[in-house]
Amino acid sequence: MIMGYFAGAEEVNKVIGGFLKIFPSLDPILKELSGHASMLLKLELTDPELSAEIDLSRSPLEVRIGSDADGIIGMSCPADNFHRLLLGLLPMAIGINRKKILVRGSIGKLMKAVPMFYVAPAIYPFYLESIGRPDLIVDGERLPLHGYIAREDIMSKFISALAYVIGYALGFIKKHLAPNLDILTALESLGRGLLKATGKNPNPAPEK
Amino acid sequence: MAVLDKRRAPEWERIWETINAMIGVFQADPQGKAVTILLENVRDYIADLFAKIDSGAPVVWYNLGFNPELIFALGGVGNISIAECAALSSIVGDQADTETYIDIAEAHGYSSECCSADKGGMGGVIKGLYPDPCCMVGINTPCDSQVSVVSGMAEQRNKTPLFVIDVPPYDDERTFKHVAGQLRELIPFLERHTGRKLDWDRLKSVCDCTNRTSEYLWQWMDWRSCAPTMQPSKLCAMTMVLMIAFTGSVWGKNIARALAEDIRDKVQSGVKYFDEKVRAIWYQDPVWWDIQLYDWMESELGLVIPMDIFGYYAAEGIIDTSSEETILYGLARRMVNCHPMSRQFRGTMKRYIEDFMFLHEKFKADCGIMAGHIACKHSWGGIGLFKEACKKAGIPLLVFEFDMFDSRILPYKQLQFEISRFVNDLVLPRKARGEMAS
Repeated sequence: MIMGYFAGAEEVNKVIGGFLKIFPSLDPILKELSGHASMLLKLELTDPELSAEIDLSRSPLEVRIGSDADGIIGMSCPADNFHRLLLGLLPMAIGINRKKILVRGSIGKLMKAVPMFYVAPAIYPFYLESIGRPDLIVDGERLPLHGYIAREDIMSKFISALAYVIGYALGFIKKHLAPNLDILTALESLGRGLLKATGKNPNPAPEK
Repeated sequence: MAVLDKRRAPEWERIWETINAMIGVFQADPQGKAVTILLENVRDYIADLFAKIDSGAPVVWYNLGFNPELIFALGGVGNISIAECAALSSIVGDQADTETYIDIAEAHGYSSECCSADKGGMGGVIKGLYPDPCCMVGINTPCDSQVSVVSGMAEQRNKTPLFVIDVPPYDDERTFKHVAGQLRELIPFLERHTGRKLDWDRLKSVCDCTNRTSEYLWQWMDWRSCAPTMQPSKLCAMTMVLMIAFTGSVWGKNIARALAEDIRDKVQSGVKYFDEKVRAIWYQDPVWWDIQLYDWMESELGLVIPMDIFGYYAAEGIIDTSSEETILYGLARRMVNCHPMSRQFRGTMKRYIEDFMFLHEKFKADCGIMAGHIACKHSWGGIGLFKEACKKAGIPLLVFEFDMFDSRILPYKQLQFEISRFVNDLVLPRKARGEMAS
């Protein structure tokens, strides 16, 4: 395994911590993927260290870096493994089965948290580029992240095809026409649209 | 998530959703096939159970020490161990549900000293998670707590016919024949209340399936005894689940075969995901409320559990299917002498200690971990003898109190602390000094 993507805790905090801080702006998408489960996911990275808490009980979800709370469920691994997970080079199943990622807590809640990381490979590389760290986008075999069987109904197929076309168009525009195109903002807008259409308040008052 | 396109109790829906999510997640690892096959067969069993319930088929309830072959042989009858929801919620659902069932049972007056599997079972019954049974089978194995839970079943369903099997505290021929005689009496009881006639040919093929399952379990144990053991420790307790819900079914056979083939392939390919430093026989209940703990033990401590008391399947389980008498005798013998815990937790501590010593030797263990489930009074009652035997044999033994289905008794961090201290401060230094039992 390639080791040592990060020079120290400060760099992990800047790169991975910075990426996690994007999560609240993707709240509608991540909540949809996690089945709107109310939970606290504690993330503990080592070599170099970073601890964070993703609080899905808040609206929008909150990310607290350096948290010393235990969380309801937990995930711990070397920072390099988490980096590969975010790049889509380490599927969660392989991470867990081969002890590259340790998880703890209710399996039901963990299974709700896992899909949040399925979107990471689509946005993490753009994020790395946006912070001037394209050197961290490493190549490797991209294995399927999950074995879910896509729904076969016509509407699901149509939406999947439409999403692919939009994704392709964004990629084409970014590559050939507008290299500075902000993919994350586009995703954020997708989330806002999702919220609006499902009738949920996009800007709820913070929970007391 | 609806089960078979119908809304069910939220607890069942959470189990169903989690199993399907786990299958989706773990299918991404081609080397984790055993886990996926195990989950798929549990899902298929649940689907079959709900299909039977939806069709109005009769359902038989029973408690932890009973094996369902006779129910399968009736054809089209649902089998439900009342601890099922509690166990499934812990292993493939939401642990919070299991703890809720425990609290419900205690709030209804069931003794807090009872086993959490049984309190969880009673909580599920009180919550109405199971379809009404046409009849119930109670058995006083695998532990003392069963006497209490069978009383609880009778109390909660006092108009439902109950058949009680009494297993004496011995393990000899007379005991097998005595239990076989009760199984003979159980058949007309089941026929009368389910409205199904037991088909002896079907029972023979159910027992053939059980025999094949037994052979896979023995192969699986042999492969797991190879050091290093690279199949996850968290899979070693599955024999117990298999015996209670699936033995005699194609689901059980598929699970046992997948476990055996997976470990065989791993041993033959020499695949290695961590450095094995210490091998321990886990001699009591597994940590069902967070089985990921075993991954932590392997990864952080190099501690492997090649076998535990729930996984050990004694080599005396083949059923002779040549006649009705031999079939019933074989079923009785398995239930008494192979069913995990039933084998060790009746009568004296002799077999409990002998089996530990056998497993310690066969699985080349360095030490023992007596994860003392607080309700297991039979093992706590003999703890002095067990400690003495280990001391005499030079086997380091960790003893601590916890609860297998209730994370509130000994929380995760304290459990980690107990195990880390034992491995790092006692076992590894002793191993380095060459002071281990041979």
